[in-house]
Parts: sequence; structure tokens; C-alpha cells
Amino acid sequence: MFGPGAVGGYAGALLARAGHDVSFVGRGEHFAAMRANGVRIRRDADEFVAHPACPDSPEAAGPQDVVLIATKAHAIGEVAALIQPLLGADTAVVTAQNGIPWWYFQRLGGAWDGRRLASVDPGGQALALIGVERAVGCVVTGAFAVESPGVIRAGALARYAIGEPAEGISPRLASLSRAFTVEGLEAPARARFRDDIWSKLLGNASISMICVLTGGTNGTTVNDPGTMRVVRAIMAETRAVSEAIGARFLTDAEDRLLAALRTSTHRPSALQDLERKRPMEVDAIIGAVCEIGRVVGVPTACADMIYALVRLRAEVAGCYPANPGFALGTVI
Amino acid sequence: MKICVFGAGALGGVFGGHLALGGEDVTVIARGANLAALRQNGLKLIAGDKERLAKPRLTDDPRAEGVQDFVIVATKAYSLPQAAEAIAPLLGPDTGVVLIQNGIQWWYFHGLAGPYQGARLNSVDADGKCESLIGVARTIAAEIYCPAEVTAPGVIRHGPGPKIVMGEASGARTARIQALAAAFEKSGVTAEIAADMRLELWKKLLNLVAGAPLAVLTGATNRPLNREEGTRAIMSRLTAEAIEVAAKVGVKLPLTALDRFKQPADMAPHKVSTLQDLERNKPLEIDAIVGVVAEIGRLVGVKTPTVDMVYALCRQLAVERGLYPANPGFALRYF
Repeated sequence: MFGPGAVGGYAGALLARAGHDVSFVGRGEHFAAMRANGVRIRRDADEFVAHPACPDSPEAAGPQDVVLIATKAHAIGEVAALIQPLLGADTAVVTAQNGIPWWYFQRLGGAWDGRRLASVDPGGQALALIGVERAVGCVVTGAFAVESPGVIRAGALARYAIGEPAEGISPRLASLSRAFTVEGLEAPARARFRDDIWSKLLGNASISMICVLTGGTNGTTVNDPGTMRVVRAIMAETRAVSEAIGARFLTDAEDRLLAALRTSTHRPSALQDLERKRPMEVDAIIGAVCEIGRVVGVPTACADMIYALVRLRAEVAGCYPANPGFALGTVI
Repeated sequence: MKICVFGAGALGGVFGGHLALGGEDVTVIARGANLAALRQNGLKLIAGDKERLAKPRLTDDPRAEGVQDFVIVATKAYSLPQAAEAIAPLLGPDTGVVLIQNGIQWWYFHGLAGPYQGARLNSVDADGKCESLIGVARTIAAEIYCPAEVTAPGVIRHGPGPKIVMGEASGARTARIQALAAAFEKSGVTAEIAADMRLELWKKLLNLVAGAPLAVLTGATNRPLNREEGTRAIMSRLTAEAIEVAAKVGVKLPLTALDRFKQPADMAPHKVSTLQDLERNKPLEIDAIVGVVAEIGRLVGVKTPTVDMVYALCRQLAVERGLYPANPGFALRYF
């Protein structure tokens, strides 16, 4: 587990409890606590402590069968360099990150196959240093939080859906799915994984980004007729972009809006990041939608505006790692 | 000349102070700590290294002051309906009420010949209080050109050469507005009488409609807003939509106003007052600056999609922070 915060820490703890040989590679207070006392998981009545290895460095851990990257998506280039000691020829690198993954155009087939996604992998480091052959996608669904250093609280649902850039269920994917499906963790192998990505993105690119600008919750955003219009406009653009590039939506926009109403007091993680002055995933969540829209020739007028506003908001707050490699006017 | 200044903030202080120093019979209406400081120390005006002390009459009770020749209402736009109630005892049939609020003012369609004559602007006068209590015949609209801030209660620092551009809402060059202009000039305030204040309101609005809401949403000063391509594109669209709406109500604004958004501009750093308000947890003037453009667009059949979006975001932000002055009727009716 590289960068085991709440999402990586939870999966790592469950896998360690199930008998896998799990190492955490991380830094900071949370990592130090897990190293000293193990990682404590709280999920309803299920509370336990797991003791994954916490080596000093990637070098100390050495090559792995699977590396799960659970850092923020904006850091993927930097992470790609750091995880080199963990990689062997057959290592699967699973990116459990929000938004569009760096490998989106790789093995996509069709007219846009092999393009680089400037918004997510501006220097091409992920492509060069991880390589598409190692890449496995992961869309995480559930609520995870670091309650205090070393302690992770999780909701009832913990689904880590995984998929191949080439789509289909490869033997590797099937075996990963079997290995990751342990008590407290679902890891379905998805044959059309890009559909899962877009379905999750539908709410993140719209409701979450608007909450970043307004400071509002899911509920205030979808209950206000003015912001609701903006939500619908971004959802429609996101859907049009995804369909133009061959994805099929698993979630209807209306269902997503109802889900937001059911979780009306929820403050999206991107807003929490802003409030805590942590780096924000702006490019992978909405910048990439704008970029892919330009590639496939689908206008994203509303998403462009929200992207520009959120990016500057994050930059002013010190939560946006400079991404000079991508601006709305430049598509590689 | 009996002049009351309602709202002893920075601009009320600058103009009330100058008129008092110029020998006019000025009463400043203030409250709380501000009033106490003014009573104790007078009204201090600081410009550069020059300090002057004005001694206007002071009160917190407009009812005791009687009918005035002029009332200068120096509040934010969202406070004007409330101010209209408070100043009612000061108004006689001939009193001139000078309104310095940003944005499009409530009287805009009153006396404007054409299909929209008399239309009420719910974004700035939802209950019609300004219309019924001030009335268009008393209204003198004004634009202020003078940076000013309250540095301590009763102490105001301002830029050199305060200037006021004003005109009767009716457009007439009345005896009273000429008398007021003369009083300002005698007091060291440059006063211009404008023939068409509707044009002046739009010109000032064009300076605010793009930069102010984007500063609020991003927390950025004008420099990054004008550097980034994405935010320049939004500001250009906001300005273009405002120009189109203005054109539909007969005000021709130059399209050259859009030129400044074409290239990254390196400008002197400036934090728009709306962002300063946000940072100081003061209510935001978004209805008069942004919402009103959307409202007039709806009225006259001009689509304003960018203004709508930015207004919705700003309004929600203000609501979340508790900085949206109560005007729920407008937004709900509007959307």
C-alpha cells in the first residue's frame, strides 16, 4: 500500500487480516501511528487491529506482486518515480484514485488510442515509469476516514471495483479480484471498467466541485434551483463526453441527484481538502473531463468554467500543485 | 442647506465630512460604537499626510431631525430598503435623496419610456419599499469615485480629490441638483451632473459584474483572475452578457470593454470590495451587481447563462457563510 491514508489503510488492514503479506509505505503522523501500534479499523461492530509491515522505504520493501496507490491523483507522476523499487516485471499497479486515471487512452482502441492525458499525467511520467502493462484501475465506493492517527473508520459499504485498461476480465484481474475479496472488502472485477470511472465521476465533477466553490453540502447544492442547474449542466456535459469516447453510464443523473439528497449533510472530500489546506484533485476530476471533451470534440462550456474557478480557488488557497503542463487551451 | 448622511461608513464619512467642513448644515446618522466615537472625537478625514476634523451634528434618531433638503444614503445596496424606512421622517416632498449604491438601482425602469416602464427590480427592491418610501421624484443617483476606508471608528482615510457623478433619476437638470453640486464643489468635492445616470450605472456595473463575483468565488485578486485564460474567458462572457442586456434596454456600451480579457493582463494588485466584504464576514452585494443583470435579462428576453451560473454560485456561497442579505423571494422567483 503506497500512501495508506483511509482508503489504502482500510484495504491493507483487511488484506493483512486475511493473511496477505501486506506492507505500508507512507509518511506523516498517521503512518507513524500505524507503524508503532498497528492500524485500528472501526466498522460497525467489527473493530480490530492489523499489523502490516511498515518498512522505512520502498527499497526496504522490495518488488511486490501488487502495489496499490491510494494517494491523491494529482501526485501520480511523483509517485511513479517513488514506487520504482516496488516494481517487478509482473507487478500490478492498482491506482485507487478519484477521477480519470492517467492511462485512460491507453489500450482504449479506436481513434484516440495511446494519447497521453495532459491534465493527469502532464510530464508523461506515469506512462513511462509505471507503464500501461502494469496498470490496473480501481474505483472505490464507500465512506472512509482517518479518525485519529492510526485509526480508520469505515462505513458498511467498502467496494474496490477493479478493471484493466484493455477491458475484459484478464486472468490477472480475476486473480486480483479473488485475492482482494476478503471479509469486509468487495473487489469486483469489471469488464467495462471505464463505465465505472465515469459513473463515479458524474457526481464528483458536478456536485463536489460546486461545493468547493460555495462551501455547501450535497443537500444545499441540489436543493438550490440555481446551483442545481449548474449541476445538471455539468452532468450532461460529462455524460456527452463519456459517451463520445465509448463509455456507457451505469448511473442515471437523476439517481445521482437522489443519492445526493439522501446524503444531504455530506461535505465532499474535495471541500474538506480545501478547508484543511490539503492538495485537491482538481485536474483528474474535472480538468480531465474538459480535456477529453476537446479530444473527442464535445463542448464542455460549463465544466470549463467550473474547472477554471476551482483551479484558481485551489491555487489561491495553496491546495493546487502547479500543473503548468495543462491549461484549457492546450491539449496534447 | 440641511443635509443628512445616513450610513456613516467610509463613503458617508468622506462626503458628510467634506460638506460639514464646507459649512453646510450636516447631520450624520450613526449607531453604536461608531456614534460614540464620533461624539467623542468628531469625524477625522485623512488624505495623504493631511488631517482634517469635521464636526457634523450627530444622532441615532432620524425622527428628531425634521425634513431635510438632501439625504445622502451611503449604505450597501442590500440595506437600502431598510434605510428607506429609517429615513422616511427626513423626507419632505422636495427632499433630494442621493443614492450611491453599486449596481443597477431600484428606480431604473421608473420613468423610462418603453415596454418596461415602471417594472420593479426584485433583486434590489423586492418589497417595493424604495419605490413607495423614497419614490423616483426624490431620487438623485450618484456614482462615487474615491477610494476610502474606515481605519478606526470616526477615522476615515481617503484618496485625493473625491468625485461624485450624479443626476436626477428623471434626467432633469433641476435647481436642487445644481445647488447640491455647488455645495459639493465649495466643499472640495468634484461634482459632475450627468444627463443619463442609467448609462453611468451600467458603466460602473461593467467594472464590477465580472471581477467581483469571480474574486468572491476564487478568493483571488484581480491579478490572477486576469492572468488565467479560464477566468478571463468567464469574465469576458459575463461582460458581454451585461452589454447585451444593457443594449436591450437602450444603453449602448462599448464592445471594446471586452478587449481587456483577450490577453493576460499584468495589472496593479487590487482586491475588489466584495472580496474584502467576504473576508470581513460582511454581507455580499451580489444581488445588485450580478443578480440584477440576470433579472433584467429575463425581463427583456436576453439569455444570460454565464451570469445565471455565477450568480447562483455566489449566492449559495453567501448563504453558506451567512452573508446573504435576506432576499429569498428574489432568487426563488427568479429561478
